[in-house]
Amino acid sequence: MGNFSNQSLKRTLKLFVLIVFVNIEAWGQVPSPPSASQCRQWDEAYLALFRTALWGMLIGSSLVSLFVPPLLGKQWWWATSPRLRILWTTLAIWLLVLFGIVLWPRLFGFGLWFSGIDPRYLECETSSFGATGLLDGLIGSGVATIAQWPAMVILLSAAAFIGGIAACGVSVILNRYLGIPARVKGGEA
Amino acid sequence: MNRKLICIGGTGQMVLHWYLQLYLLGAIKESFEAVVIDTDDIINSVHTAKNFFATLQYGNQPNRAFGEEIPEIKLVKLKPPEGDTVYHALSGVRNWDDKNPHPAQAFFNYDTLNQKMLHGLFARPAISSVVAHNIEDIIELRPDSNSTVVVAGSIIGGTGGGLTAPVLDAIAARISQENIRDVKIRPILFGEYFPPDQSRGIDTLRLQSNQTLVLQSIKESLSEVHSFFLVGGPGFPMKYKRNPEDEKAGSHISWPEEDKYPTWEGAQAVNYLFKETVKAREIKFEEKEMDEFQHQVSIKEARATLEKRIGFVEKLIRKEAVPKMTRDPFAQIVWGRGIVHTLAHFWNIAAEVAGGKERVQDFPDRLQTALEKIWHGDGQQEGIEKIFPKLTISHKVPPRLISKMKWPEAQQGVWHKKLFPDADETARRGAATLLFKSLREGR
Repeated sequence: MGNFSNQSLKRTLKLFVLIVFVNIEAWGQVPSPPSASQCRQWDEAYLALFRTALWGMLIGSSLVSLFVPPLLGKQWWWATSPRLRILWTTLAIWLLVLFGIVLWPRLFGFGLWFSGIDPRYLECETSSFGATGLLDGLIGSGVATIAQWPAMVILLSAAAFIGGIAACGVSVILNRYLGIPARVKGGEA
Repeated sequence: MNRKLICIGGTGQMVLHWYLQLYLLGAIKESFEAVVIDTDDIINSVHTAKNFFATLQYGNQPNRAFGEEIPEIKLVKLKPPEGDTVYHALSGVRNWDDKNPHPAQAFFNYDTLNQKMLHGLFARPAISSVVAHNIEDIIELRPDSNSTVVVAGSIIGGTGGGLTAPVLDAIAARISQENIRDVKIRPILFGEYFPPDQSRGIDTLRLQSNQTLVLQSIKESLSEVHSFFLVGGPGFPMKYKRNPEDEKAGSHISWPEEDKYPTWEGAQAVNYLFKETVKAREIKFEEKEMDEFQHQVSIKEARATLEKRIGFVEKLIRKEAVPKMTRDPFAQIVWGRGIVHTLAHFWNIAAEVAGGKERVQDFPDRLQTALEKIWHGDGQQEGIEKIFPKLTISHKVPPRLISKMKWPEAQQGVWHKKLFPDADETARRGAATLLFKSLREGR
């Protein structure tokens, strides 16, 4: 009984030492940096996502802010003013997109809607791999998209602003044809 | 109009004060005509309501508002005979002279005749009876056929005590002379219901004496009275105090705490007597008295409605709902069809009277300004808010409640052109209409 216990203990110790050695060897290995083509591939994917977000911002702030919230006006007084409706909806979309596209990868890494992008893309930030740059190279050609977050924030803000102004303009025009002024004919009370 | 309310003296005016509020809050649905008769000043709330109803006029008749009939208030201020004292007023002689007695001395005692005329009638009905010598000439007292006339006044005070019986008699005389058919005369008589103000020379005995005198005279001479309701009277607990100064000011008067508060009960009785159709005309005076009745709306319910409606109106004004909805292409989704149509209708009138739509681009802002002026007051003009008590509680009022309100359909050609001379006056009438509907129909 005593012999069996000693043998078993020795076997366990051998196994433990083997596992430790294997792991030390694995930990000691330095992973190779992503290649330029990998960086380029991930950057293109992130850039495509940004482009979509930019267009979404522009369309969302102009259309969503115009058409969705009138229903909110039944419940909340702030939403009874068309301009405030546009302002707050645009701001909400702006914050959402900014958080989802610019802030998320730095806080929580890639995944979810960043499925085509490897977590190692962040390592491409400082490397040179012939990145396209924002707006087809107009801004930051050769610089990784992820590194251009200040420009991304400015572009998204500009899109939100343009979308909001467009929504205000469309709202004024629509009001002329659909709103109360459209019912005033001048002489047919 | 088939409902006429005649309010005599301070008590009658207070009854009207409460009744108007119940009407404006939509607790009383039917329109009516009110005639106020007093030798004293008319209280501010009645004046304000009268002006408000005048601003609401839309059609040819004074009681035609936008899409509905509204009350009409007529004021009859009786002028007491001129003189420093009652004796002076009655005899034309300033100084009392026992050597040359005047017949007035046979009817009134020394105290009464020496009463200063400047300070009211001091619960001396005999004096107001003198004032009432030409009361049958008051055209406003004429009832319509198929109508109910409710006369509210105290039978203990100076004005009410002296004028109630002559007014009832004048109405009965008109009915008989002009052969007006199917008129029910139903007075609400206020017996002893407040402790007398001894500092003004009024004691309990005097009030009781007035009460007996007036009741007796109505009993003996007015068989035309269909039925009557008595508030207060002998044995009534004297726990309710009147505040004549507040009543005269008629501004933000607090509501009573109890349903049994005499003038409040009087207002409820007005509504009851207008509606009640079961009681037959009795011969014996004692059997003409109406029993206790169920109030149409309890003071608790009325207060809840008051808080909601005032909150609703204040939100509508403070949030500038009118300018907002005119800038919104989706106004109909947010605010509902009714208010949008009404607003467009008044804007159309303004455009027509101004000679073109482009001249009244700022109509919504003018209407918003008018809303604020009518509600809060403007210079000498008291605001409608002062008819109601001041509130400390505020209710949550979501905008969707406005879309749930019922609004009348505008009918072409009904509006009376003389009432809408320019865009500002049109905005004022439009604003009054929005306020009126919000008070009556607000959720």
